[in-house]
Amino acid sequence: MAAFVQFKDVKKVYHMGEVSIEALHNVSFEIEKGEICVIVGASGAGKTTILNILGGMDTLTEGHVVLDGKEISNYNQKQLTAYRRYDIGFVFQFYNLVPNLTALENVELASQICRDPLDPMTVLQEVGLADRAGNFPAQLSGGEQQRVAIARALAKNPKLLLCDEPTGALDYNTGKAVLKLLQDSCRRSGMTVVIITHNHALTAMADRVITVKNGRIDSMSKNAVVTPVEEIEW
Amino acid sequence: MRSVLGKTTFREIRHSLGRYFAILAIVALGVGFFAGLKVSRSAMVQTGDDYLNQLHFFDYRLISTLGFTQEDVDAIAQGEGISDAEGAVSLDFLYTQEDGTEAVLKAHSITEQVNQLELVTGRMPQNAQECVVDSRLFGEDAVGSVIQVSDSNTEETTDQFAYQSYTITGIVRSPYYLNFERGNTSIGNGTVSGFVYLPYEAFDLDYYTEIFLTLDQTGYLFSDEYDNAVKAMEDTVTELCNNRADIRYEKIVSDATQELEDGWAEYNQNNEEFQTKKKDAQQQLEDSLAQLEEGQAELESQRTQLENTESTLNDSRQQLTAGQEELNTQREEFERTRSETLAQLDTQQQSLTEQLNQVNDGLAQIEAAGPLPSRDELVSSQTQIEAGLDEIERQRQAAQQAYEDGLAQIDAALQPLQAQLEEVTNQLNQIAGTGQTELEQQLRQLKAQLEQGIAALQQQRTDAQQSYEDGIALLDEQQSILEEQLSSVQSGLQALDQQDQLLSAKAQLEDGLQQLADGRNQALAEFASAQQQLEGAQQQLDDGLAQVEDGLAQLESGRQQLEQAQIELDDGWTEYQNAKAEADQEFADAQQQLDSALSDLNDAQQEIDDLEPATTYVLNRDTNVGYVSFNSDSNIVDGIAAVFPIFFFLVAALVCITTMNRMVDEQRTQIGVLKALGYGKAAIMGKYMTYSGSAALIGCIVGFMAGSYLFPKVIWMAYGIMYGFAEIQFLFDLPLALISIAVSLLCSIGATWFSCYQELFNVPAELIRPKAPKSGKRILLERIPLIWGHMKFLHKVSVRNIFRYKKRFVMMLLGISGCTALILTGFGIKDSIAGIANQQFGEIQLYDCSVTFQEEQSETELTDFANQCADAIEGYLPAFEESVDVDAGGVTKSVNLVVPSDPSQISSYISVHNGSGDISFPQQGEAVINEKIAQQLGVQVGDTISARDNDMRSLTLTVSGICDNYVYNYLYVSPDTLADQWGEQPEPKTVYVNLNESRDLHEAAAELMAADGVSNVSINADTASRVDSMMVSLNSVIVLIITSAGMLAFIVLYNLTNINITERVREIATIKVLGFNQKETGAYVFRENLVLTAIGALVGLPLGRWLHAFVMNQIQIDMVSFDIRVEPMSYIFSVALTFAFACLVAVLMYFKLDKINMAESLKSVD
Repeated sequence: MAAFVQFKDVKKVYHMGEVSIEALHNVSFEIEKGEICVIVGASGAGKTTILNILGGMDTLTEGHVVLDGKEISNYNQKQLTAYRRYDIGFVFQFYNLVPNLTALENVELASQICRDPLDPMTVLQEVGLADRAGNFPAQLSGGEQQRVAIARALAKNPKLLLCDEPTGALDYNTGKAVLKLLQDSCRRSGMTVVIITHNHALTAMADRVITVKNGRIDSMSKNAVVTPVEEIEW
Repeated sequence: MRSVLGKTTFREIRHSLGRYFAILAIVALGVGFFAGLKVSRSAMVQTGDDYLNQLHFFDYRLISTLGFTQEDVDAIAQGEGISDAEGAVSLDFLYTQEDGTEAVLKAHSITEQVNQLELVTGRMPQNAQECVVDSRLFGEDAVGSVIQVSDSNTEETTDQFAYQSYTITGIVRSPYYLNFERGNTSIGNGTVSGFVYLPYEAFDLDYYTEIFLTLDQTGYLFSDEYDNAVKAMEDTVTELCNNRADIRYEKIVSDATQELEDGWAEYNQNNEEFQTKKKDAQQQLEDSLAQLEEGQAELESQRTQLENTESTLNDSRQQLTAGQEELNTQREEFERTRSETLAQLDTQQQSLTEQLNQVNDGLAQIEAAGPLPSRDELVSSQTQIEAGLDEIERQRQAAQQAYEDGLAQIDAALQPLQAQLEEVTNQLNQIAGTGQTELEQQLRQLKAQLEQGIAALQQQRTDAQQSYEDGIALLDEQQSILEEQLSSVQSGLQALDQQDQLLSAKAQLEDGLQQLADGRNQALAEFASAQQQLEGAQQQLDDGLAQVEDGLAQLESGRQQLEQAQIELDDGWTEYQNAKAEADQEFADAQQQLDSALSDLNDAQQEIDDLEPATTYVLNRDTNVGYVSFNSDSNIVDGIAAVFPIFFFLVAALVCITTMNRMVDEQRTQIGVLKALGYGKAAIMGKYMTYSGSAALIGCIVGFMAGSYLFPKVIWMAYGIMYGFAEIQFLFDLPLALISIAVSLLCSIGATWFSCYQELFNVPAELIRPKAPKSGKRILLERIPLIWGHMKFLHKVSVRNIFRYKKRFVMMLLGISGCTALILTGFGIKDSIAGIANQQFGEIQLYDCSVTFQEEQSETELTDFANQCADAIEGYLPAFEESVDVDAGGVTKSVNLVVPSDPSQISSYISVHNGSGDISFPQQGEAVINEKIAQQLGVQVGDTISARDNDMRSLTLTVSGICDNYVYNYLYVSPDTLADQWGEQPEPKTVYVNLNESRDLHEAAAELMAADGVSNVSINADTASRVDSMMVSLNSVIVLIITSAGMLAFIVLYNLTNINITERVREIATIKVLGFNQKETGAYVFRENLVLTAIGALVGLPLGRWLHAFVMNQIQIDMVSFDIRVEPMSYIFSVALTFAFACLVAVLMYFKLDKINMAESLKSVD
């Protein structure tokens, strides 16, 4: 059986006027179902491009991307939208909550549009924000906002959860708490999670670590021992 | 340093062209609208000013009821401050059109100095039989054709023309008729259809009806300067005009008086002559009459005489006849008498003879008896006897006497005895029973003595009686012897007498016989003479009869002569009667002529007396319909310009503010950095001010240029149907341009300053940090669970978003409601205008067509007309129509007076109503006027107005109702009012006709046109379509408004949506990442826009209604009043169009939305 996520010789070229920039160069990797995968690399290494492609937000120039046996690299815009809608959960570095929706509503915003959503309130409870459900994002702290964002992503019950620097805008402890939440949630629901970060310390919590450098896969390894988030220091 | 900032500014512009153009466009639109509308009026006025100056449009028009002469004109031209003066003539007349119908033209004399004509094609007239005509009525192909003065004109009119037809040599425009209106007239159908200019020589007149003059000092068209300059001259001109009018009046009066005096002289002469002739003729007639009467009398007397004669003759004849008869009787009598007489004579003779014989016999017997004693013896015996008898008688008497004396003595003795006896008897009776026996005894003795005495006396008596009777008896015996003797003596005497008698009888008889013989002879002689008399009488009778016959014959001939004379006399009478009648007729004729001459003279005198000093009118340009309309119509544009641009500027300012606000917000970090780098506030603000200022400046210039060109052009095009006398002149109005620039810069830079001001006072550190995101807020609606709970989740989001950004909400509302309002106004103007014809002819003037006759129609003529067109007509109502000037409170307006012959029928032809229902037709002394004129006159129900027609007949009326009306102005009055105030009810010249519905309108109308005396038939449906097509001109204005409104809506929506999207790029990117598909994303963003559009449109509708009413009030076209109304469809269209613009924006924005990169969601907040 093929891997849950397959990247095969993926190439991405951006054209800016007369200049072509090759963001990804023959990137190939696989992620198994239920794994927590951390993609790590320096700024501009191409990890966001990978995320964009994986999240159906961007198209690729060459190669194949397969999720759960479906080749998304052939998808048109419409199919990609459906793909994002039903298969992907996304957690942003800056939370990207809709400012004039309450925490619960932000979750609902996602659960509204998918086929088999989890109950938004339950999810919010799971992330420990049941008592803040009626608050607007501006009334929440960063960590709380990120937890709402995670709840929003989880509520969609996606096949794949993509997290872009989830702790990037958070302080250390809060970051840790968020990561813990992510790890626990995944373990509990068996969801496949891809975390993108420049923080190598986080690789410890992953089942699989992919290092990206200059648009290429630098290394790919599986952690034999997964360290709980609480024990990770950075 | 500056250049680097400049570069960033330049690049800023390049990178945000959409935003830059939004500012530019909104400013351009605002300025364009403002400047365009403002300059339109100026451009129109400039065009008008040039045109009117070029053609020397009059400043004053002088009218005198007595007209003007060339001297008057010259005198007035000499007046101070007067540039030119020129006399002119104008005259309405009927002319025959190509299709045979008649229309009214106004003929003007061509003036050289004032009111010059603009030749469109052809050439000006070169002789008195040529003319130039109205370019609105005649096409170029009319050149060479002929204007025929119709026969239907009154003599008065035709007399004023030198010729009956004029050749058209050219087509002209006249400054006197700036717009399409040609005015009203009292002839034909009451409407002047066009003008015609003729040389003055083409009129057969020796005076001018009006003088046009221009002033030295005037001013710009419609300016106060002009008004003041004209006003300043008013007194001078009025005085001049009045002076000339007085002079003319005196001249006319003196001329007329002279003429009148001549007339009187002639009349008097003629009258005198007539009287003389009349007298002579009457004398003659009277003589003849006398003669005739004399003859007649004579004839009559002769006739009477004749008749008398005849009667006499007849009497004579009758007498003669009677005489004859008598004669015949006499003759018979005579015959009988003769025979009778003779017979009698014979009988007498016979009887006499017999008697004689008897007498002879008696004598014979007597002689035979012996001789007879003599008579004397006998007589003496008789005397003795008689003496004896007498003795006896005396003895007897003596005896008697003795006896009686004895008796008397006895009785005398007896009587006392008897008395004593009786007394004694009584005493006895009394004593009987009393017992007086002695007395009784004595008495008894006495009694017995008495009874003895009595018995002795009675014995003596009886003895006396015995002796007496014995004496008598002796006497009787002696007497009887004597009487016997006497009797024998008497018989002897008798025999003697008998003998004597016989002898005398014999003598008598013999004498009788002799007499008889004499009688016979005499009778015979008498008979003969009677016979002779009879014969003579017969002869006389015969003669008389013959004479009578002769007389009768003569009478007959006399009678014939009389008859002849009578005939002659009758002839004489007839002749006399004829002569008299003839003479009378002649006299009457002559008298009549004289009377009419007299009446003419009196009339003339009256006319001279009545001739009032000329009423003069000094009219300025404000009395020229075209000029006034042009002024008011150009003001309409100004009126619109007053509202719309403010609106646009307001929106422009708001657009600038939001845009710049957003821009400053976006660039706060940059501002912070620049500040941190040490740039001053002014420099930093300069960047943004340059940005917005340059956009505003360019927009302003573009808008100003486009507006200044486009608006006048389009509006002039629209007005072209009404005016179109010259090409519009494009103006560059520098002050306006400066104002526009100032205002637009103020708007943009002010908005920028307002946006930047706050930010610039923050410290750089604050600025560099991202602005805290605006907190979400619960809105009021959420507190109403009933609504909020039932709303879809995404809708909640939209609703919350709408109320989140108040500024944007207000602006959006303003922009969109403004857009809807503008569109609604545009459509509303169209509705209000388009409705006019339908309303006027569908709701008010219900009749199918109106028929105008050449002359006033009597009832019979109208009946004839109805009979002639019975197939085509369903009903008709005659009416008297004319144009009158209505006065109230110093305002004068020209109105159509309508007086239906039968007001009770009016409802089938004209519906007199207003918003609150039908108005009852005015009673005597009342009037109903339409609302527009009521407004212009400032009149309400119950007020009094006065009306005056061209013949100066006036009416004083109480307004009893104010009715709706859209085209022209009407004054409805009942015929009683006219009859009352004018003394007569004018006969109708117009008939309102409802045509037979089964007939084709035009066919039926043609039938009416063919009827006798019909001058024109005007079909309401045609008029309606004509009015409609006239109103189409305003369509381009409406298109302009709708386009502007659309542009406004588009810019506002585009700009706001743009801002909205750029502000929310991250949010949108996020939801895209969340898997919202295109549609959902679009809906997520545009739902707000649509809701705002809906709200804006709803707000815009009442706003539009108000704006529409405002604009309609600004549009004042004389003769037309608009029904301020908006059709339901217009509301729908306005809203739909607003949504269409919103959708257009949405479609455009959709692509922009689509281009939003999801990667944006990954970016940090900046």
